[in-house]
Amino acid sequence: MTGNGDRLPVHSSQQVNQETSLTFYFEGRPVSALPGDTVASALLAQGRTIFSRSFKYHRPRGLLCCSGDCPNCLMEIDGKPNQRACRVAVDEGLQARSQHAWPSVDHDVFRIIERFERLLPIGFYYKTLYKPRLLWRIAEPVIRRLAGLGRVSNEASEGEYEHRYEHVDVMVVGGGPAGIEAARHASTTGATVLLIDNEPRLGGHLRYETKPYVYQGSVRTGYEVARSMASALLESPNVSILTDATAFGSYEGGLVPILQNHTLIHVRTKALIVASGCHQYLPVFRNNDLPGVMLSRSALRLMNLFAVRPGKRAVIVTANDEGYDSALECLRHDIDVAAVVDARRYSSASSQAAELRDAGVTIQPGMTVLEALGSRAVSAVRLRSAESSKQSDFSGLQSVPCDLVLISTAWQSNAALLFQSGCQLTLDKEIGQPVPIRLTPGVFAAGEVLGLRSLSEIIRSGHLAAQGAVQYLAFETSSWHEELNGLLSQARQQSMACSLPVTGGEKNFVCLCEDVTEKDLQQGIQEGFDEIETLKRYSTVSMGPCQGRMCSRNSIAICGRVTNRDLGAVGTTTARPPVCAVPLGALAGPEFYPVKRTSMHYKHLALTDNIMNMGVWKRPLIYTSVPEEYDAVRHHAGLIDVSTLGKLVVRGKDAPALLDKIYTHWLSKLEVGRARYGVICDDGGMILDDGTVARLADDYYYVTTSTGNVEFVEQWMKWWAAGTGWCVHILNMTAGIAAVNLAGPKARDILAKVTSLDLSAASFPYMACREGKVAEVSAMLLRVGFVGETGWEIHFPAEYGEYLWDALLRAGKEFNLKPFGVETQRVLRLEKKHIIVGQDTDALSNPYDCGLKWVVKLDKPDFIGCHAHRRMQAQPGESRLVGFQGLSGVQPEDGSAVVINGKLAGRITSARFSPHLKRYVGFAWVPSELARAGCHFGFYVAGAVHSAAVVDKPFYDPEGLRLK
Amino acid sequence: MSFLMQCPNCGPRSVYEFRFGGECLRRPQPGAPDNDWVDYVYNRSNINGVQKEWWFHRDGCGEWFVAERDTTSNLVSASHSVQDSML
Amino acid sequence: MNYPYRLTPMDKWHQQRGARMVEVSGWRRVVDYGDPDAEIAAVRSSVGLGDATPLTKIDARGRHSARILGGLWKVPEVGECGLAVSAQASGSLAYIVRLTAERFIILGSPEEGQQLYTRLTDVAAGDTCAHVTDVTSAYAVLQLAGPLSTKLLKKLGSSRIDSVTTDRCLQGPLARVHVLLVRRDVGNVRSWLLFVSRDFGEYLWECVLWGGREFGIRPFGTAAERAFGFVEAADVPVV
Repeated sequence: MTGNGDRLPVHSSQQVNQETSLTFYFEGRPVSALPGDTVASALLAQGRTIFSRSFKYHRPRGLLCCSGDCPNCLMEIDGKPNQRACRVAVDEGLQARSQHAWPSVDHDVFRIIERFERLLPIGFYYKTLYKPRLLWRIAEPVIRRLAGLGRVSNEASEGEYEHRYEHVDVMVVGGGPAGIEAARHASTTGATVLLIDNEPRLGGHLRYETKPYVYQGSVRTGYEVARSMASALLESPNVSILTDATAFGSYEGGLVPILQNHTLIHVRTKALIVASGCHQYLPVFRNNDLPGVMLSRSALRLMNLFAVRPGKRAVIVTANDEGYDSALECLRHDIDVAAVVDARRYSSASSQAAELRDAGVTIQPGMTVLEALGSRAVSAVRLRSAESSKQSDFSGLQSVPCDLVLISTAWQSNAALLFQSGCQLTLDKEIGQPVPIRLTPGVFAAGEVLGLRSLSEIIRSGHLAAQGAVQYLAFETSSWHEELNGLLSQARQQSMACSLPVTGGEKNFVCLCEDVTEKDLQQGIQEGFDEIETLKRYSTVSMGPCQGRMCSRNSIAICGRVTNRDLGAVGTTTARPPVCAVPLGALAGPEFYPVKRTSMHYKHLALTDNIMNMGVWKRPLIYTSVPEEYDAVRHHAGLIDVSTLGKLVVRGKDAPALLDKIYTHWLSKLEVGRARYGVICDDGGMILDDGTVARLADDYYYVTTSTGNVEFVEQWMKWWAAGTGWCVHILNMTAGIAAVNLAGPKARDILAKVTSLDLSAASFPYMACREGKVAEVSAMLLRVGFVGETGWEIHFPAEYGEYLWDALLRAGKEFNLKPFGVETQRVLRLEKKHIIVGQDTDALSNPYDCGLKWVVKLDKPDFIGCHAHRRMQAQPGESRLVGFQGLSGVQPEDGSAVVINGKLAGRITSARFSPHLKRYVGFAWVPSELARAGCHFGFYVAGAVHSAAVVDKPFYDPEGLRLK
Repeated sequence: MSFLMQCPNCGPRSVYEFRFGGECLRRPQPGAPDNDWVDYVYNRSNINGVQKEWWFHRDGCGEWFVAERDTTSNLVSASHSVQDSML
Repeated sequence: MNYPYRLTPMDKWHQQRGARMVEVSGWRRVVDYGDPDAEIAAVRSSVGLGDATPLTKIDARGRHSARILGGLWKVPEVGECGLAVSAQASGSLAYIVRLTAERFIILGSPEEGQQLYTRLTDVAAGDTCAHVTDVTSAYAVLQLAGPLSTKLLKKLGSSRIDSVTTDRCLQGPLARVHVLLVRRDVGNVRSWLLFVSRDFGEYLWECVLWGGREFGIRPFGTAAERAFGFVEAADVPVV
């Protein structure tokens, strides 16, 4: 084959452009194609018949559905595994490769596996290789290599996928005649409408039909009707159209996610119209998976859209009039029709049948296919009477040579979205498809998904669904469902399901994805898996890439027949999202990892790259070294950015009442200009957070919280204020207020250089707060002692962060002021035995066990946790948080086990080397009987137990003299 | 889980914008018997049906409200700003 | 920097991209990034991003806040925003954003910020349940302008962006953080003000630029602002 392959003459129905061509690669070799081709259509035009190898037996598989409904054309395309060649448009330079075959898809040595079919029974993994255990270990790597489809690239595809969010009134899934009409009509009422279709153009099945329809009073071919409807819709206001887009689920709240190329679109719709059509599926007969066996709509697509002839001599296997249409299309494209085999007892009286007879085509009523013959492709079919069900009746059968078997025996609704939306559907025997018997409010259906066949009924159903949707949006009652039932009863004469041959053969494939045969299912049922849901799991039928599109109905029918049950009694398996395979990268979407930076962040970066993540915050861990920074704070002065502290402003005349309720301490009694350490507990008495509360005015408090806990505390306060009628407002000012802690023996000297405030201990004592200017910036200063030295927390507007950081360092230069990081701060605070909530406490820590009894004021009539605290005071807990010092040189780790008499008795929460004591100090939870100074306990590190002693006072400056 | 929560200030929003605050309970008076406190702190009625709940609109107005949600269907039948005291 | 300069959280970003900077009302602001014509073209034909953090922002909340503000201006409905039309003859101009029944953000130019704050504090003083707080420092403000700005925003968050017409506001998640969106078209230029917690400022700035790369988004400075009259037409000088 040369050039663009064997193509049909140019015709206006085609989507390929025959005037030019492009080149892509299959297995590394160049292939010529037309713009508008899919990978599959281009390869078929070049004469390729084998497109993939089956999952288990590596049988050759050819094009079957050409609509993305079967697994037969799965390939690796541009590095992505399991792409359907019939769905991927050809691009210049595209790289397609077969997968799951070696050395090539045409000559696959693993085909030999089929010879060992008997050794690969249903439930293979459950029955074999589990004994002896060693066997599995040997077999597993081999099986893993043989099993599975495609290879996933190990390279992360960063930034490849995007998300988008849309909100609409009405979403219509499916851009065929029903969907187009539904979208058009809904939009005329002013509703915003989104119409999506998974094909590149609107029109549904009409796009590839050249048969005549009466549409709007004139006779036009199917594709002309499709184009006319689509272009009329483009003029409708309020309609957005997405093509090549797949709605892969329906979730609560009207959420319908759509995948379009590399974008995941989260659509929230108020009403959903499902007009997703139906697909044909393959009946079960021997060798039904041979290349050349093809669904009739697939052949129509290939001929009318892609100008490719799928074969030269066709046998049409049908049970409805659509098969006759296909036969006529074949004749039109110079394909011989060897026979039309109609399973119905009486052949169609339609005009198409007459036309075929006139053309000399043999029509065989009451007949169907028994088996396909051939090894790599169909060479003939053998026929049988459609009504016989006994094996003996199949003797002396005629065989018809052909290279194409077109199947048009039954349809299955594309109803996954309806099922997922909670609608109930049941198989309607007359229509031959499941139809809804109860639709969820806000969900509507139209078109072929309902089993409608005539174009006028299909369009009418779209109109009705839109009417129903619009009435639903307006909270009006609707009669759409009754009218729809009228349409359905008209449709009940159109089709009959093809009865299944009972040949018991081994090559009767039910599930193409997983290579499950009729015999496998029969065996599974005999082994006791006679419920469809268990049969599915045991045999993996309907669990492959096509998600039951080809096999669900057949497996239900077989299960019903073998167990002698009605199809209704067999039921169906549950349809769950996603409808189709969705790349994990698409679900993950863009990488938005929120990062908070303080206003001094880039000043820190200039000094150190040792930055840690503290929740979403970035904080400098160490600037130079812990000893150097420690030395500065203890002997000169240090400066640390504490902007990450949560900062809340609590205002209003009822602010004192609220804070008295929230904190265990009295805060209504706090003097203006003073601050107090406070603890917040829940009503179980457990510690939630701690921080400083400063009173700036009678009705104005300034509260700090632990880093990362401010949202929680803000919500907690708002919750307790809700519904009280109090006048109190909580404002989170964390981001707006930068803060530094200037601490050390020289802190006062440094600060005095840049402020006119009186910093003397008498007028600015420990735990006092003042407002004033620091280096010309308005600030609030708080005298605190977290690190155990004279120090001020300076709170000021964040936009001055860099300026003030520099100004303070400049002022402190002559006093050896140095910035210090989080790690040094941890050492400093440990020496002072200041706890960190969340580090030293957990969700079961209360103030009594943490040595914070002094912050609980039980003389307050009510506060959160008061009842529990009264109980705790009377009844001490079993363990206590104590300070300890290590008695050996071994470093205890945060989280090390506390061991007493060889038994686990607690844990260490923080431990650091104290430069002051020259030994390790820390906090630990120990049994309360050991919570006295001098008691010894062991801790477990690196395989040995080491000794530590409880210390009840701060390790550094126990009298707090340095804070004066 | 993708249901819409009705915020009295901001209208229907994805439930991911909210923090769930649990079933609405009435806090016992100080001095109430231990059993009342244990019930309040530890026990939940785990209703199979419509339940009054606290919700906080974290990504929106930043306010607490009370919603009536069917725990079996996630349908929110009503939501309102907090009027009554829960304290 | 030997005297107090006010920096936006995107200041470092601007400098690293070679922005020309000037001082405006104590703030360091971007004039342009080297090619003001390209910045203007981006806003005109696709989308541009500017740093409007210096805008004065005053939070007013409380049961009586609507009443207090009503004494000064015509107060918009919840979810709406409006230019403050003075109820009395005098008074500085402001743009009022009404978040809820009892919560407002009042915007003013950086120059008039102090004046506006003082005035509001005065009217809220006394025995009322209304409190006024200057939250200028608490928010970074990103101005997203251009015909494709709405399309870009739809990539960053699940909010009903389409429902926000000019002079309306919405609070919702954008790139996973809380953002107050104010739609404020200037002439026929579509424009959004995105208010985000200041500490997330640089993060959101980068997320918006990331989302806008397919549209050819460009950051813009005061040169482009002037060209589009974001200053004059906003009346409240949106700086």
